[in-house]
Order: sequence, then C-alpha cells, then structure tokens
Amino acid sequence: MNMFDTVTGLMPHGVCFFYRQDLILLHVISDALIALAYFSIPVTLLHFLRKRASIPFAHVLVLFAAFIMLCGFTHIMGIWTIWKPYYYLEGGVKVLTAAVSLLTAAALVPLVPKALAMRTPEELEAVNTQLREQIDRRDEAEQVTQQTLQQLETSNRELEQFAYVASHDLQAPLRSVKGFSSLLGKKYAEQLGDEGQEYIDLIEESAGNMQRLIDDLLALSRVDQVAAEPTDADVTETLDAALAQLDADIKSSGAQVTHDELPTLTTGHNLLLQVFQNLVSNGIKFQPPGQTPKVHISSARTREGWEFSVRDNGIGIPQDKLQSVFEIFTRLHGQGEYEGSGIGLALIQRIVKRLGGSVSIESTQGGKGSGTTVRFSLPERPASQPESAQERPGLTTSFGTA
Amino acid sequence: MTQANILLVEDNPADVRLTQEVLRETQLDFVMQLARDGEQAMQILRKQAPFEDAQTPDLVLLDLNLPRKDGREVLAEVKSDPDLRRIPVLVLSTSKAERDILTCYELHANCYLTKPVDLDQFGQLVQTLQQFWFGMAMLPPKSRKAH
Repeated sequence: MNMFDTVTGLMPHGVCFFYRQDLILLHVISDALIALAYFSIPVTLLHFLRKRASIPFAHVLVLFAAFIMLCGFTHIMGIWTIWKPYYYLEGGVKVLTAAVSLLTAAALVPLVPKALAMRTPEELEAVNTQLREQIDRRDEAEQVTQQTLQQLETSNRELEQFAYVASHDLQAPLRSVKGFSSLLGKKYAEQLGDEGQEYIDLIEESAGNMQRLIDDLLALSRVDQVAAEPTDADVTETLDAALAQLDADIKSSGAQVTHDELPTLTTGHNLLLQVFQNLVSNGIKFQPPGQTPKVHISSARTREGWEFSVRDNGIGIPQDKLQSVFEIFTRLHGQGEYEGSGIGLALIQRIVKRLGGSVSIESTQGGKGSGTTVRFSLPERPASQPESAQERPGLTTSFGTA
Repeated sequence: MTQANILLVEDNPADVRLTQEVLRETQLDFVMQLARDGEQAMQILRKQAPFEDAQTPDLVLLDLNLPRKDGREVLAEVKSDPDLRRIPVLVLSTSKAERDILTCYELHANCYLTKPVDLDQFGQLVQTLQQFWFGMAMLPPKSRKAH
C-alpha cells in the first residue's frame, strides 16, 4: 500500500470495471489518445509562438496551451486511477484545470471586440493594393523629379560653359580692340590729331566698360559654383585683402577707409572678400566731384550671428530707387558720370544669400549727412553649401570687379 | 647673348600681331616661329613636313583654346616626349578658371599666365618674361647630349 491509498483508503476505478479487460482497454486507449492529442496541441502552439514574433493575443494563446495541457493531465489521471486510487491528486489536477480554463474563458471575452476590429485578409489585401498604388505613384513622381534634376544639371553645365566662353572668347576680341587702339594712339599720335585721339579714347573707354561688364557677369554667374569652404578667419584680414585689391583706386581718390574692430568668423571668406571689395569700391566711386571719399566698416553682434555695415559719404540713392538697386543691370547714372555695370549690388546680394545672410540698404541724399549704408548679416554657423558647389570643388576663381 | 627662338602657338591673328609688337618693344633679340594650331605646333617641334627646317625653340608660348589640337593636348604631348619635354612651355591664356590652371600644371606646364586685356600690362608681362627666361633662368641645351 502506498501513501495515496492511505489518504483515500478507497478502491481503484478498475474495481468498478470489475477489471474487465475490454472496458479497461477501451478507457485506457481512448484516454491515452486524448492525452496525446492534448499534449501535442500546446507543443505546436508554443512552437508557433516562438517562431513568429508579434502575434496578436499571444497571452491568451499561452493560457489556452496551459489549459489544454492540463486537460491532457486529467485524462492521464483517469488512466492511472483505474489501478491506483489517487483521487485527491486527480481532483487537484481537475481544480488546476478548472482554474486555468476559467481564466482562459475570462480572457477570451474582452478579446472578441478586439478580434472583430482586426482586418480580415481581404481587407488587408485591399489596403496592400492601395499602398502599392501609392508607391507606384511616388516612383513616378520620383522619376519626374530625377528627370527635372538631370535637366537642371545639364542647364547648369551649359551655364558654366557659357561663363567660360564669356571669359575666353568674348575677351579675345576685346583685347584686340583695346590693344590696337592703344597701339594706334601711341604710334600714330601725330597723324591722328586731337579728334583722332578723342576717337581712340572713346574706343578704349567703351572697351573698358565692356571688360567690366564681362568680368562682373562672370562673377555673378559663378557665385553658386565657386567653392566657398567655410574657414575660421579674422574679418579684418578679409577686409584688408579686399582693400589691397582696391589699392590703386584708394590711392588715386585719396579715400579714407576706416573700420571698427571686426570679429573672427567661420564663413566663406573668399566670397566675403568680394562683398567688401564691391561695397568699398562703390563708396569710393559714387562721390560728388572734389570730395574725399570716406568709407567706414563696422560690425555688431546679433542674435543669429553678425551684422556688418559699410557706410560711405557718397552721393546717396533716391528713396524710390532703393528697392531696385539690387536688381541686375540697375544703373542710376549715365555711363559718362559714374562707371559701373549695374551688377555689383546684385552680386553682393547673391553672395550674401549664399553665405546664409541678407542685405539691406539705406541712404540719404543731399547736405552734410549724405551717404549710403549697406548692411548685411552673416549667420553664426556657415550656411549649408548648395550641392552644385560641392560637386564641383575645382572652380574657385578670382574675378576682377568693377 | 645669342638670338632667342620663341615658338608662339596662337590661332588669333590679332593676338599674334599684338604679341609681336609687344616683344619688339623689349630689348630681346628674338626670332619667332608661329603655329596657328596645335597640330602645326607639334609638326614644328618634331620638325615634320612641311616644317623640316624648323628650329628647336628656346621657349614655347602656348594658347589653350586652339583649333584641331587644343593647347592641353599639345602640352601633354610635349611633356611626355623625352626629346621635347625639357623645352619650357609657358601657357598664355585668357582663362582664369582654376580647372585650366590646375590641368596645365598637372601636365607639367612650366608656367601659367593670363593674357592681360590692357596693352601696357601685356607689355609689362612680356618684359618680365624676357628678363626672367632670357636673363635670369638658365635654359637647357638645345640637344639632349651635353656639349
């Protein structure tokens, strides 16, 4: 007798069957098959759960697996109790099974609306089709964008080619015109007489204007292509380099160019140099006859970075013209009065824009306070480079400016 | 000093004339051979027909944009030819494009100059060239074998 018999003191189930072999066989085989099936189901389920991530209602599946497993055990107990009367143990297994099956049943109820809300495979298929159509449309749009981009790149290359042709092929005949007119003036001065010399001067002056126009156009067309690697440098040095290029103009006009203390800044200093050069040059150029040009450069800290201003004591700009001076080819004076191509300020605006800042201008005319102040801002951090410049790093070019 | 021999490779007749005029203003005793395109330049340098009588120049002044064979090709051919590469080649171009400057030096140009538009400046440039290349610089012997 073992301890379980002692606990119940009852007879095993087999007694009820009178140990009839056919009855026992019938029960044992059917219970064993049921148990086998019940054990295999959770194994399959758990295997499925392990293989497949993110299954909805996985916790219910686990409960269900446990419930089936326990059901299997109740049938094993059924077989065992034919020979051994472990009825408490059998009852205990049933209690456990009852608890887990109740839990599973309870967990199932709130699941119904959620399961109903789930998409059926047909619905999923429809959504899938819609998505695929959307992707196709995006692909088409992407193709169109790519084509446009290619066209843009082509026209950019053509523009670059144009700039190159302008620099080389337009200047060659110009050099001939200037060269031979000046040779003529030198070698045949006596034969030419005053009137002839005047004609020669006019030819040379026109050729000079055309030269400036070509140089400025070239500079303008290349603002976006010139490499402008941001470097950390003292703006005073950049200004000094610009002034060095204007040395002849400053000396001949007797101009006084002064500046406050200027900051050290990370920006495209080769482009900044062009800005200073053009602005100071304008300040020297646009002066009433006989006046000493005074140009002052200062800087101020702003929230976004720095603001620079270039102030001159020149002839100023009429209020109604202040809006249009940044447009290309805007000239306010006749060719005979003040030389210029009408490109300088357009160039400045384009450069400052590329450096990530903006330009403004104010001016007063007549009297003692006459003059123009051009302000431009530069960001604390350098603006991101346009792609064109990154792709063509080999195009740094220095340009002559009027 | 003996007569300087300069090969000018230039397709623009006006530029040729201007260069001649400006060279005449200098103190340099020179003869100028002229090539109107890159092919002619190579024929002169290699003394090929119809230029069998050509002289080996002391110095080549080379324009870049030339018909038939362009200046960069001439430069590349000269500098890869063991018989010619010692001849100093000065590129004289209107282009200020960094691309051109870089290409020429990478092809072993001895110097890259931009043509000034102003005649006086051009005069100064040629004057300086004369002083440097025919005054200060020591040029290689005309034939490869040392005398």
